[in-house]
Amino acid sequence: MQFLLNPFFWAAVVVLYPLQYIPLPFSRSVVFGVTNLVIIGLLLGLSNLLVAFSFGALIWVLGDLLQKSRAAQRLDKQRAIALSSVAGILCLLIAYKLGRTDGFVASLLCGAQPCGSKLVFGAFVALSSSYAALRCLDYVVSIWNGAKATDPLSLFGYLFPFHMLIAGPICSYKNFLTINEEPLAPVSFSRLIRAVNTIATGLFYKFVIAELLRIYQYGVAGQIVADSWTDSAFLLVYLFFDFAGYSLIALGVGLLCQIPTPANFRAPFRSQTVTEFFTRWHISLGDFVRTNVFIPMQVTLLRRLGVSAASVASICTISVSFILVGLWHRVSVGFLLWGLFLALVMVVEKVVADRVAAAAVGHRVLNLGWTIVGPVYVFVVVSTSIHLVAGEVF
Amino acid sequence: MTPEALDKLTLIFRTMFNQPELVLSDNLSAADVPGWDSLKHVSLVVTIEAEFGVRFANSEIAALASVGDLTQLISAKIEQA
Repeated sequence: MQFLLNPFFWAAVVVLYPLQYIPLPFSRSVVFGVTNLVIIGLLLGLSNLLVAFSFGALIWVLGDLLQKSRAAQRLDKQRAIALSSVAGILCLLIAYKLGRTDGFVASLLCGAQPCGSKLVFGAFVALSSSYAALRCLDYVVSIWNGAKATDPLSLFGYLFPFHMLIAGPICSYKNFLTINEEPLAPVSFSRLIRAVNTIATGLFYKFVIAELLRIYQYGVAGQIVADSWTDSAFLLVYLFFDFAGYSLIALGVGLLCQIPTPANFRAPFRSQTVTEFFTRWHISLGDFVRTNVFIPMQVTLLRRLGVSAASVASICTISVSFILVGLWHRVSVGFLLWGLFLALVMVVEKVVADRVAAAAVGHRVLNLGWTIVGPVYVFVVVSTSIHLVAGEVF
Repeated sequence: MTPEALDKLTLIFRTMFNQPELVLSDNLSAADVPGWDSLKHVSLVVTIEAEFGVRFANSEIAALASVGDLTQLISAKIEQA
C-alpha cells in the first residue's frame, strides 16, 4: 500500500504518459527501461536499485550466453546454461521465501554482522521478488525456446516494471516484446478515459472497498485473522478487492503508458467450477504455470505413457502445478496442503466432468441449476482452502 | 493443409471431443468446443504428433489458440520434415 501512496509513483505515471509520444532514436522498450530505472531509484533508493540492476544484468548475461550457444548450435551447452539458470533462480526464490518466514534462515541472511546478504535480502523484499523471479524464469525459458534476447535496459524494464512490482501481474516475456512490435497508438481521449477509469476502479477496490471491509471486520489497526470458516469467507472477499485493486491499477497504468500489462482477474466469483475459478483469479500466474509447468510436464508424460494414460498423468500434473503454486505463495506446510487440497478438488472435478458433463449436455434444468449452485460451491471450496492458510496470507 | 490431412485432423477432433458432427474452421477455438480444456489440449496435440509424425515445442503448444493456428503449424512442420 505504501508504494501506491508514494507521490513519486503517480508523478512517474504523469511523466511517462506524454514521454511516450516524444520521438526518440531508441526503441520503446529501451525508453521504458531507462525511465523505469529512474523511477525505481526514486521509489526504492539507490542501494535497492543497484541490487535490482545487478541482478537484471546477471539475467541478461545468462540470456546472452543462451542465445550465443543456440546460434553456435551447441545445444548441450545451451541446455546446461538454461537448467543451471533455472535452478539458480529457484534457489534464490526459495531462500527469499524462507528468509521472510523462517527465523533461522532470516538470521543467516540478515545476521547482526554487516554483510552483503543483508543488503541483497533487503532489496529482494523491497522489490517483491516473488514476481520478479517468475519473470526471470520466463525470460530464461523463453530464450531457451528460441525467443530473441533483449538489451540490458529493456530487460530491466521487463523484470522490474514499477507498476507491476508489488503485486504483479506477471507479464510474459513474449507479451512484453509486443512493446516494440506493435505501433504506438496515437493520442486518444477515449483511451485516456479508459485508462483513468481502470486506475480509479482499482483505487476504489483497494482503498475503499477492501479497506472498509478490513476495518469493519478487524478494526482500524487490527490483525487479519481467520478463526472460523466465516472469517475465511470474509478474507476471500477482502483478498479479491485488495488484489484485484492492485491489478487494475497496474493494468490502467500499462494502458495509459502503453506498456504490455496483462489482466489478472475476470469475474472469478461467477465461476461454476474451481478449475474455472483459477482461470479467472490471478490469471497471469495461471498462464505462467500452464506454460512453464503444466504443458511441458503433461506433454512429456503423454509422449512416454501414451494418450490413454492422460487421466493418470493429469493427476500428477495438476498436483505438481498446484503444489508449486502453493509454495510460491509461501514455503510452508499450510500452503503445501492448500495446493494439494485444490489439486484434489480439480482432479475430482475432471473425473466428474468427463462422466457427468456428457450426460448433462442439453439437460436444461440441470444446467440452469448448476449455473446457480456452481458459484456457491466454488465460493465454499475456495473459502475452505483459504482456511488452511488464513494465518499465513499476510 | 491438404484435404486428406484436414480429414485426418477432423477425425481426431471428433474422436477426442466425442462430437461426430464437429466441423473444423480456422476460427474454431477452445471456447467453442465443450471439453476443450488444458488437459484435452495436450492430449489432442500429442495425438496429432503421433498421427502426423511431427513434433511440437512446448512454447508452440502453449501458443496454439485456434484450429487455424494448429493447421498452419502442422503444415509448417510437415514442410520442414
